[in-house]
Amino acid sequence: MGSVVYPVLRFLMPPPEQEASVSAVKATSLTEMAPNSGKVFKFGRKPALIVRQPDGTFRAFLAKCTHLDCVVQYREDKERIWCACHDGFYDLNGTNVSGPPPRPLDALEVHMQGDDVYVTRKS
Amino acid sequence: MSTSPENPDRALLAWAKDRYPIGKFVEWAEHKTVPIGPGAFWYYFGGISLFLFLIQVGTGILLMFYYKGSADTAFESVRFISAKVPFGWLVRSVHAWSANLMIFSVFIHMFSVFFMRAYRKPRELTWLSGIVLLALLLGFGFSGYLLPWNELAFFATKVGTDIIGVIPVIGKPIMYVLRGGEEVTGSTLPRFFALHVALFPALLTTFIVGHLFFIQMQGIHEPDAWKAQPEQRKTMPFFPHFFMRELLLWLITLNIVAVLAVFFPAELGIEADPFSPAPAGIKPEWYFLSTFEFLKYMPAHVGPLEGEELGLLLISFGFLLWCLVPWIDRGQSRRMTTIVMGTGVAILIFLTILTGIGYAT
Amino acid sequence: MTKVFTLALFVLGMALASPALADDLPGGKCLECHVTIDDDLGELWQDDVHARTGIGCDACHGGDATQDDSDLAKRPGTDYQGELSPLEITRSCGGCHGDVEYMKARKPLLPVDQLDKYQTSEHGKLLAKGETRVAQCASCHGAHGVREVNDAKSPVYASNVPATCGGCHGDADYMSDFDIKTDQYDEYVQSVHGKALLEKNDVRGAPACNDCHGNHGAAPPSIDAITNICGTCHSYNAELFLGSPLAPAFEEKSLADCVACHGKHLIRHVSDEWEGDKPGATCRKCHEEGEEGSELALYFTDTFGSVRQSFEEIEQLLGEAEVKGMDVTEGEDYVEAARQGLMQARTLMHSFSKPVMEEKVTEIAANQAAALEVGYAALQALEDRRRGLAISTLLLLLLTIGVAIKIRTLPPLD
Repeated sequence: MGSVVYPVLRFLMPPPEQEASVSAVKATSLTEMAPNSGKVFKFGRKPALIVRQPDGTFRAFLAKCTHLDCVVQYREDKERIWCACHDGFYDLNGTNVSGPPPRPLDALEVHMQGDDVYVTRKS
Repeated sequence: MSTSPENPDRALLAWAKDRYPIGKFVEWAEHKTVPIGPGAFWYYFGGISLFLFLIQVGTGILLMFYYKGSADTAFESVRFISAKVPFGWLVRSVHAWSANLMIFSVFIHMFSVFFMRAYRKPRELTWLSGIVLLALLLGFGFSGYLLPWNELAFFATKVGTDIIGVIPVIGKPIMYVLRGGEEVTGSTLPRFFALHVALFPALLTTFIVGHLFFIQMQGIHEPDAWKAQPEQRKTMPFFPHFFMRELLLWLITLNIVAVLAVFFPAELGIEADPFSPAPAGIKPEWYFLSTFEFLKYMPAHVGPLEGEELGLLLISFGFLLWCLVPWIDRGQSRRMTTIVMGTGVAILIFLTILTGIGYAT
Repeated sequence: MTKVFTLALFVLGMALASPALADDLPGGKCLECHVTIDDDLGELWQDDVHARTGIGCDACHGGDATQDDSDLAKRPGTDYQGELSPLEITRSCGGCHGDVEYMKARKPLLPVDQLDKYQTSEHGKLLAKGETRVAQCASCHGAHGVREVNDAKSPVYASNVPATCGGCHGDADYMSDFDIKTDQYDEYVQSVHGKALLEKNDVRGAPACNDCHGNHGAAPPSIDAITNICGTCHSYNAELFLGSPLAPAFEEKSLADCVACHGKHLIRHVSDEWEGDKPGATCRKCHEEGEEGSELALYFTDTFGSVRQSFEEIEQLLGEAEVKGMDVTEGEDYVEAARQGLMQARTLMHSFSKPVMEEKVTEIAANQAAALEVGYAALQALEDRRRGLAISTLLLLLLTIGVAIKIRTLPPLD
């Protein structure tokens, strides 16, 4: 009966990647990001962007441009989110303000835990 | 303890007998017999169904260690089980195959009981409890199918609950309760999960116990021919002869399930999206296909009734007759028996053909 | 009886009143006759944006709109113009649309420089010299059914612009007297921009004729302007190019920057024709075999070629694993990351620098390797499963045989 017992026991031991789907990701910490800067990180399987605004607070979005799916980045000089592919711009609310993007970016929620910055799906 | 060292089992039994009044039970078990004859092979299917049920419970409990039952997480958790958890693919595929095999086995069991006319007095309640078990199993299949929250399951559930909603008067309220609202949404999933892992198992266990209890009390049904020719009567002891043979079949079944799980793993497809249109070719699982096809062939309207309503009415009527067969064929009229048996053959052929058509299209 | 009579009168009155519908829109009495004389006029005027603002026929054509007699309406002193000539059209439209105060009071957001710009354009310059076959206001905007630019039925709505311009510029007979090619429309619809605009309907992102040539000051961009114009959307490519060694070389040779390699209207995805340093390849147009430029071209070709080949290999591998029932979503994630990298690499190419490209290619290669890893692991897992099954089957078979033997040793049945 080893062919039954062994698989069952192995099954019950959790694999290294413990969570199935991602509900919360630690994106950065207060010490890692200066104000007016941005960072691309992995939110589950999708690329996401976290921006620390000039006033020190954080905003997070899924980083896929709504035009043709390029990964966006933060532009400190413009204080805007920019897509290098066709010069699309989003403001810090995620609204598409210039260029080809037809829709705003999908927003994510930011939660602080001490110095750590966590990003979760919008509830 | 007065035991002989060459037989350790006896020691355990003696130990138990010293403490619990199981003497009568042990005696009964030693004398329990099973008929031998041309139809004896079919007797095994009850036990095979039970075995598959045990596999379902086992794999189901294991799956619950990793399954996350909300619309946001269900699909990913099933994918996680299939892809990341060690032997997760095996547990899931065994669970899926065993479910199908169990229902198939139960159908064989039911039809073999029917054609052996074992439903007759005194076994009417056994028959009825068996039908309840079948209905519960179909409920298990329907509720479990939605749990991975994939596209196929979502739309199959939508169509299935739509059909329930067609039942006059009580259909819509039942559909509303099943769905947890007007439509199939994220609220439907927890309900189906509760049905699948709590309510149905509780009911099923109760009825299995009842079903088996009736059988043990009355003994296994003997072929009709023996009444006329008692010299043909031949039996084998349940323990160990029948039990060992049953065990053999259980092992073979286990192997078959394992082979199916490896070579035909359960599919997952893409995640359900309530807002996307239904893909072409939505079909329910095979055990619902005949009903599905039957309703498709109904004309749009027949008199004051809608085609689907009439279809469901006919099916319900047929089902009722099937339940009442112990009272229709009491063994007193040869003609009635022939009619009933003939109808049974017709039903079997009908269901098979409809299922086949459902698959082909 | 009287009831029926009144009813009949009422119905008759309504029937006669239909030309009076023309009275609902400004135009005055002119429309009463001209709605029937000119086929489309009535229909067009219903949708006209000027009509809705209360501007009538007399605003452009002059005449006395209060008279329903044709001679009286057009009598001397009424400033009646009749059908306007092309030059008169520009003056008529420009008369209001170029008047800052007038437009400020009505539609402050509309620009008022259209006529000024038009006069700098090829169309405007030729018209000033008396060539009437050029485009003027009405050619593109229409005369009587003028719609707003963001009205999808307007001839100057983004996705309609190519057909509007192409109406003349694509007509070889019409353009036969002018020294200008007529293949622009045909080339444009085959280009990535044309397909994006016309097939995928990307009105916000894809350029139509006017996005590069201008609207009213329509002219082919000068060579100096090209990088700026393409760079309006492709800003990063332009920036990289201007910082690359090619930019000063192109300027020296008066080459048309982006257009020199990508073409102007028939801009397509990079194909095999671009590759390598064989004659006919793009870089070969300037670089001889063996030159530094040619070496770089070869490097790019080889790099992109191997990246593409890897993608094919990955697709086949992951596809095979998926068909056999294995989950390869993680591999697909790596493929996606690699594709993003490739997109970035194609842009970075415009810096024409090997070290820059090498950095990006390393990143792409890492992602592709990871994807392949996932694929191979999946196929390996399949093998492992089959092997595991064989072992368990063997064990179960042994057990089954054991049970069968045990059955044989049981006391015989009677």
